[in-house]
Amino acid sequence: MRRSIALLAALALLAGCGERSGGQGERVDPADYTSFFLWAGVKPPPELSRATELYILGGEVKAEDPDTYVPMRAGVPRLADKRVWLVVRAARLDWGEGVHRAVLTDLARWERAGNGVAGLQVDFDAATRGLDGYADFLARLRQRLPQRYQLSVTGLMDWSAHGDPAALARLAGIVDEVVVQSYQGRSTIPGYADYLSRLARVPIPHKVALVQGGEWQEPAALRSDPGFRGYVVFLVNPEH
Amino acid sequence: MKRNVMWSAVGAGLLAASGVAWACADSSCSPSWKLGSTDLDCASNAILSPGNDSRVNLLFLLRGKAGLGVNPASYPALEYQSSGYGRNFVDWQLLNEGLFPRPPRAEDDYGPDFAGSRCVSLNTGTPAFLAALNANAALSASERAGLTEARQRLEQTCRGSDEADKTVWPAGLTSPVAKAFLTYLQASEAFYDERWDAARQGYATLAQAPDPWLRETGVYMLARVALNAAQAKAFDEYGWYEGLKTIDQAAVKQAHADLAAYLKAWPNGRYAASAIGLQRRALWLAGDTGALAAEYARLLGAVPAGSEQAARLVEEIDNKLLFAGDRPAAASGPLLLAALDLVQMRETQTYDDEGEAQVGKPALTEAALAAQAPAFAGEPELYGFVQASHAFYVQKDYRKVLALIPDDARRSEYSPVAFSRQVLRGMALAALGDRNEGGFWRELLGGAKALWQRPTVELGLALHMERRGQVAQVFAKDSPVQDTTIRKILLTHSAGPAVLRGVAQDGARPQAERDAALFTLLYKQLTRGDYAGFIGNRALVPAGANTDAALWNFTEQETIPVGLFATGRWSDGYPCQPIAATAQKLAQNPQDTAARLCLGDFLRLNGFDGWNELDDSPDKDELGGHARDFAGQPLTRESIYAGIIANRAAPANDRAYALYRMVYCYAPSGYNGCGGKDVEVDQRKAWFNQLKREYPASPWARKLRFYW
Repeated sequence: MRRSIALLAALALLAGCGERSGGQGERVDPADYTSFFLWAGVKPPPELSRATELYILGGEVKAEDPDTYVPMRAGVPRLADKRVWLVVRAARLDWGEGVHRAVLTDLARWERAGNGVAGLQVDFDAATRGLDGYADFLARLRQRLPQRYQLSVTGLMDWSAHGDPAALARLAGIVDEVVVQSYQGRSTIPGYADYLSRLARVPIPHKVALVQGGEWQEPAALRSDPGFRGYVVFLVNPEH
Repeated sequence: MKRNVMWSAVGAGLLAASGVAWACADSSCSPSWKLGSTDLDCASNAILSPGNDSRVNLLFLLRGKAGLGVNPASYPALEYQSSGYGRNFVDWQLLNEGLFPRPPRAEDDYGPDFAGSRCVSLNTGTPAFLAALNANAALSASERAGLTEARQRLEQTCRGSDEADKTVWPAGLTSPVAKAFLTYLQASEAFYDERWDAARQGYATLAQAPDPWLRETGVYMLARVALNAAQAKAFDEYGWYEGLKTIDQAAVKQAHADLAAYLKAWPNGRYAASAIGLQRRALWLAGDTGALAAEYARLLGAVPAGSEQAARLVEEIDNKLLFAGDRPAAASGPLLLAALDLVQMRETQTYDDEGEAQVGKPALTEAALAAQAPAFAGEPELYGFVQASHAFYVQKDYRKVLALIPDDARRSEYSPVAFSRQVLRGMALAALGDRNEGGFWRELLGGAKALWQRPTVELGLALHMERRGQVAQVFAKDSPVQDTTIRKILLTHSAGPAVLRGVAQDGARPQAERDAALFTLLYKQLTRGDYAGFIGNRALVPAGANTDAALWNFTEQETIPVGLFATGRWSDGYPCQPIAATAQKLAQNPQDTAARLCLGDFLRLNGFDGWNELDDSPDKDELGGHARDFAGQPLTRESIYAGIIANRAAPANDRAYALYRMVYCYAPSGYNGCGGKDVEVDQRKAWFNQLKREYPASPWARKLRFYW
């Protein structure tokens, strides 16, 4: 069935969740980028063939059941010429043993299918104030992950402004990169430039996630940020 | 303002339609508080409606036909994402949790292994395989041991482990039966490893195997191989499901033949139930939705309606028939027809060249519905309901609804269809402004006994009373509107001061409802200029009342921080007294600039910026969207500062502070966080310069170093 989702604007950390797109910046055009998020239900666009790196949603751990890994990809990708990340979206972190096994199985199956698997990315909306608990989870996950895989996490722009330096430093010892989301829904979060101007504070190699069609003007600070590793574009289906 | 965003999920073959492309940090469901809709909402009403989740509709229909109703023992506990449902809305997950409560999973139960892949049968098949080895006396002990160990190689294949390549098959299997079992394992490894031709060849040789389990299993597995092979080209290099056009129809035909052969030879075989289920998969892969619909109609008639199995069947039907993607829509039998008809009464949405949403006509025409009459023979009540739904939602012919559904509001209880009929009649009375509408809802209350039914009727009555300007009567002592969520929505959006004060003091009501009433009263009096009223009512705040609960789920949360009005924060630089003293000054002179600035600081320091729950209104057709019994307009901090900046006679320090605060409205995002309109950066710069120019010695001018 098709479903609609009502947003609690309240919970958007910043000015609003997909509510306004204001500003005069450029729009994010996938043609200008080489690294992408590919979510379930998003039809791969033709230009994806020239991508060099893909973050592909493989499965979810839903809020209602921490013991079940819900597969989100119809088939196993076969992308030998790209860096492929298996993304697991998690609504909670108290994963059962079966979920851990399923994630490791997916990684292995994707690798066996010939993908250039870079590693695992956990997409969990860790509250800025809960980073330490998140680090505990990630440390345990890292221990189970075969060494050849990297561990990536998505992060909120708010980490750069209000993240506890000690917690961020600890995270830096556990994960290989953080991909900071600059959007909610289909829109770039207003005021992103302010947040990203402080991104250099995050002591982990970081990428910035942009949403296809969202407003974007590269803040000058990013160019001089030594930890900045480029962009990942979240693809969306065309609206018509 | 609540916003519903529609996303179309793609039913991608193997997956349930849960693949929603959604990048927003948090999503939860705030349904529209009204009865019935042609817009798919994120939660469903307790009546059959086009806007409901189609699975909820179909389960209502199925259970209703079996005389079961939809009535768990108690309301399921709401979770974070369903906290806005009150007792009027339900979603598929919540309904299932209510009807089929599950004990927590045992410690050592890791859940289904390999869920969503063909390997799901690997572990469940282990006991059967071992039992077959044990049952065959022709196997030697060492052959048994070797074959048992060899089966583990299959798990390595399913796990994607490199070990699978290194493992060698056991040597020394010399007896024909041991060789046959080895052939089975090798075929199964090929099956799990997607080598369909090898799997097929291996399983085919088992037809003559000297073991009954192998013979039966081999034939069954041939069908599974064919079904998988049919989809061999269906997934592109990204794992995207390409749909019907990529299905190998020759393989589907083969699967049909294999399944038929299996069921002919083993009609009650160990895989018979699975084979019957896989026949539906073959029909689906063939795109033969007509035959699939007939089979689903048969199953709906056979499944025990109250079982969890029925709910799983409904899920399958929804995914594979009602929303079959690139396959033609089809239905068979009255239940499926009714479910599909309701879906096809939804407004369709398309996008024009500019990307603007255009509402299109529903797919179901009046003529098409009339032509369904023979299919509904024997179900006049249901057919009448579907026709009346079309009259209501599509034709908007409300008199026709009344003609199709006679008044039957005095029963002692209602099945889902009978209840949906009467509520639809009530909705038509409302649309016609019929003077009997209120009386109708009151009568219907008597038999609205199943869970969600009574609040549904209360919602109809509350909507009616609000539209008739009778909000106060909703809160009268003998009011039949008892549902606390319905009452809170009216309190926050529609009620006037007298009602709010009355509810705040009504010891018979839940504390959260009383606190919501008092908070609304004090907030609105303070922001709409009734300062004397505020002073009088502030005494109702109990000692020790909460001050730190959040405000974002105002009508849903149990704790309302009504203590903010007694012991909130008053000042962080500009000198302000407690809000009571500020209100006292404003009561004497509403234009007192210092007191107005302190009112602004009260709103700023206590988290009211950007919080519009009591200032915004639901849409006109929703509960709380009609009556405005509280006079006055919402206050923004922007308007306080603009008024003082415009007033050249205002005291210098106050005017400097107003400029300072106005500039700060845009910090740091560049968006106005004080409410009111956004201005361009030139204006923000002008305020900054004005502060520096006119009040260079002011502490506020000295403190302000930037504008945004």
